[in-house]
Amino acid sequence: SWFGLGGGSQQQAGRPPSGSPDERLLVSQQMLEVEMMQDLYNRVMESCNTKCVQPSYNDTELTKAEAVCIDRCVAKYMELHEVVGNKLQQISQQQSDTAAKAAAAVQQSGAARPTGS
Amino acid sequence: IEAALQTASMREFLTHYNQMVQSCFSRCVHTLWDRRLTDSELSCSNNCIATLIASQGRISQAYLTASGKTFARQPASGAEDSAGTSS
Repeated sequence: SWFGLGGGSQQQAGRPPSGSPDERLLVSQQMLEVEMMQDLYNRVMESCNTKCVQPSYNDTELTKAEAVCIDRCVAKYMELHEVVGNKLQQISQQQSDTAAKAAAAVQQSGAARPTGS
Repeated sequence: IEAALQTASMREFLTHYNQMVQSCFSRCVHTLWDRRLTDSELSCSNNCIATLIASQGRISQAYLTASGKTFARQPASGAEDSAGTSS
């Protein structure tokens, strides 16, 4: 699964839905993933249309340059999608590491008194 | 309800994610000679991501401060009218 949701779907296949809260969460997450992929697709279309297709409509067919441009554009967009995902993971990891270190430092220096307001 | 909140916050995060990819794509990727991202486009993207995240943090802080002033109400002491803005 692209966005990392619905990981347990392979185990659930074939069983009738029991309506448990976990299952409902899973289903809503899977629907969310579908929705987000649709959103991604729409954005790819929008971006690559803007970048590649010249607004001078002399012909019904795409020129070869436009077709090649679109292929490359989509490939680059999907690669960027992956790059952003990895980078976000890295940043959130750094943030949680920093937070963990800060929390440990606070504990070591004794419990800080909460400042009243 | 917790599941709905979780899904909603997930939706918001993923929408921001998609938005970020689109913004950084339009700002960083200009040459389409190859199917792979060039090194300069990659470094631009990394900077773009970090900058967008930093700006999101700053904007949310500034928004809290500004909306705190905008929507501040007088503390209810006695018969004072509240100074809340109409919504």
